[in-house]
Amino acid sequence: MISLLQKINKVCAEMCGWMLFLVMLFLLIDVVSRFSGSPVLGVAEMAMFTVMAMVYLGLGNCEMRKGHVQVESLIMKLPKGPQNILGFIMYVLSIGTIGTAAWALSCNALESFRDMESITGLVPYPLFPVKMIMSFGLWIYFAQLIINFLVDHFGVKQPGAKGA
Amino acid sequence: MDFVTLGILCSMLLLILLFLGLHMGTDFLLVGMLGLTLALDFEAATSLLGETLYNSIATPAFCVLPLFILMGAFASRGGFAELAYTSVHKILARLPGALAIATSFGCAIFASICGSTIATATIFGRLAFPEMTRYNYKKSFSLGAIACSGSFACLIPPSGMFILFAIFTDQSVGKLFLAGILPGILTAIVYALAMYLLAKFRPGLAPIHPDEYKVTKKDRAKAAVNLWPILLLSGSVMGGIYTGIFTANEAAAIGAAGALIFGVANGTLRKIGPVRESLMETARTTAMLFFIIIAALYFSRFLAITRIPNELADFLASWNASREVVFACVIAVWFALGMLIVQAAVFAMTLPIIFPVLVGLGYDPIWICVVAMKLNEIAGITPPVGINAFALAGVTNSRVEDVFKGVFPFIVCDVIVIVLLFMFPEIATYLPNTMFE
Repeated sequence: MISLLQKINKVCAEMCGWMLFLVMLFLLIDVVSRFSGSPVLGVAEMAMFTVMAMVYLGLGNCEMRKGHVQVESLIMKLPKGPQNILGFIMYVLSIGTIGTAAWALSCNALESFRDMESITGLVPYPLFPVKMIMSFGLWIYFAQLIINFLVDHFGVKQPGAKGA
Repeated sequence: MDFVTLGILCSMLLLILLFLGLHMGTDFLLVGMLGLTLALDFEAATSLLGETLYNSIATPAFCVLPLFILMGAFASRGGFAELAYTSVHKILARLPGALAIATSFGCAIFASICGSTIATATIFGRLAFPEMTRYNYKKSFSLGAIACSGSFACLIPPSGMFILFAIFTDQSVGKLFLAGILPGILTAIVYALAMYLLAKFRPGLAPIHPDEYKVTKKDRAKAAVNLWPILLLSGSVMGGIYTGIFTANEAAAIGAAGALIFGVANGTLRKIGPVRESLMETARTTAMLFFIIIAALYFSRFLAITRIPNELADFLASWNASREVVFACVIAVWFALGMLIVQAAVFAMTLPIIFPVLVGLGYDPIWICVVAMKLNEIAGITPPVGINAFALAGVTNSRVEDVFKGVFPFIVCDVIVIVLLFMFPEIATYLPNTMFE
């Protein structure tokens, strides 16, 4: 289970990098087509959707590498025992929060699918595909948090340690 | 409980949980959700959460940050820093403190294509510090010069911090970029002047190396010409934004593609490895930063419901203190928080409350951002969380105390620039006010 999640996170991280390349290409196509007098409609929106998907798909990998921003300077000054207790509480709060966020976004995505919601503009792209991808990214982040919690507080072994 | 009290209590809880080690983004989400549940109900809080997680970044303007970070990543791996540093050093050879001045102008030039202060400080740490040591420069002076010059990247466009500011304050990215140009150049000149004077009157600090006497006029001219790729790239990005030919988004895409093309042309980005690394590193940074932004925007929606920004503005309007005193208080708050938290996080927490208040007091929004960015520069190099200072100490195998010792003269320079910005706000506002839209 842990190694499967690690693989998913690595694939997502690789995908996110190339999605960024795609964003660059989309915007270049937008500029070139505009200057050549035949603008391609909806390219800027595609770039936007790609960035949104990239952000959420990258969260799990960021958690796997313990890359999220936190203030450590004060807790590091505490003795080991209180540090562990605080770490435990923070994990529980994080798992609860991210789980709720993933659930809230999934509900929103399902609603979008039911209503066939789309963006207003010249190309009315449906919203549910990107929202589904974003929800998937948040659930992966949630799962990674649980794994990090088990590894840090219950001594569960992580294959290959951290690093993507 | 009334909404204002709830807002204040939740803001305090936000800080407490942050200092207890909760991730910044999660902290904003958790406290925002808790506050909204108490103010409205759980269903409303989660419904708004689901909507905010999508809506807060559902605008094409959000592409600008990752693409400028990518441009910086390509530039960092593409050898542009080496080019800027060696060229400027040749141009300035034989001048007292030439290596330090080359670092200052080299960083300023490199910052015009790389918006990350940490990247600039660490690259120049690797490049300039060994050279300065070889030339017998005093260690703390070298480290101070590199750390301070490295922080230009947050003022000189395309600055990542300005993009964050634009997101939180609803200002135009293009205008903020233009606003940073003159103060950035001014800071580089003031730093260079300080380095020159320090080296001239205390030659032991930065001796002139015999190698510098070998540099001919032809070498200098050649070095100046060698800078063309950087000048072309930054010129087309900023020129495009200034003249209104490109949007900031398009300029970012052109900048990133340009940095990649130049990197491929000079051989440094011909292999897939460094390109892939740049892409993945940028994607990771973007995910981390955007999650904080999204979460902070959710929290600011809760704050808007509590009407804290309006109440604070009303309180300040009824308070008989001058607007300068209010601004000084804001600086004190930023300073106090900046001692404990990285600046991006400080701005994410405070801007939704403080920015409307300052604008309400009659300060120019663009000017506020520039002054805040100057303060951000100082925060990046001063204890206890001077992130650039720590990064530089790491890459040069030095003690961070040496870096902090060396930055002092340059902080005096920064204070001079801030005073100039207060005396002549046009330094920041002239270019954005003359921008074509």
